[in-house]
Amino acid sequence: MKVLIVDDSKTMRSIHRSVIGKIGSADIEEACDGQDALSKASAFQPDLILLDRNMPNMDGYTFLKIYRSKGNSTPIIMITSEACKTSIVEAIKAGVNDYVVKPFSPEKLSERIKRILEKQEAA
Amino acid sequence: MDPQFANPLIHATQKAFESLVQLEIAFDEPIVVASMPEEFDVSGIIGLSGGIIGLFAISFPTETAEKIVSTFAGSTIGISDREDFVDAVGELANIIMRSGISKFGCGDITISSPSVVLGNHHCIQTPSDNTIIMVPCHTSAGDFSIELSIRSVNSPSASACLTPVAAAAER
Repeated sequence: MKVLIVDDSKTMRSIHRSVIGKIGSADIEEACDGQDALSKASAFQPDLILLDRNMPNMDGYTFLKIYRSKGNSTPIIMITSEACKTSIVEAIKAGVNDYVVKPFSPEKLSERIKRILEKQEAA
Repeated sequence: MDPQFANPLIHATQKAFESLVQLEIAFDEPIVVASMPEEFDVSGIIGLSGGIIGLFAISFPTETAEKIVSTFAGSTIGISDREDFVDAVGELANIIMRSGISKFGCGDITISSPSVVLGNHHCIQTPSDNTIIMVPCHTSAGDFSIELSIRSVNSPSASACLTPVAAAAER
């Protein structure tokens, strides 16, 4: 499994890395904003992307729109502190596969990742 | 201003600590104080504009901050690991503020990127006419506090913002 973690906080990237590590072995790449993620996603070809919404330079929502507009169908879980319905609906319309609101427990994120991976395997 | 106005942040801090930091937390009653506390060494600060103008801060003694961010990040982080330490404190402040923001009912609130202040017994100076609400917090990793320094609440429904009922009911 190849996972791209996109977050401007090194702490959050480390937390995500730990959650993924407990699910199973994975090849992990990190990006610190949407712009960085676009170039890394292109080279890395991930099976799953964990995407923060609020980041400098290019935010997660802009990345999502650009990434999907290029025909990429890799599952994306958006992880954000924005819990308002408008933000969630906006992200789903733009092509996010799941949405996890911070603060979350590691178990919750783990469940969501597993669910996405199971769906992928079943497809 | 009713100190219970800070209730959305108390709720958000509790959620953040119980889920991400996995520490039980207890709060004293929020109190209005004359100035920001000066007994702390580390503060994560978020500026607020729009519906509320002011700042939110979470302030710790150094040792407490080190224990909390290490639990949060899942690895030992000391104040000497400056970049990681600052990132973790800032991210914690950011998560709490963003999580609590929608519960104020004050319309759109814009928040700044987090800033972190380090320095023994530092003083965060805010305008003298700000209302400062402080909430002492207690965990097994040590005591700390959250503070809300408010210059104004800019909302047509400002009176609703100052009514603690909705926030209190949520706790």
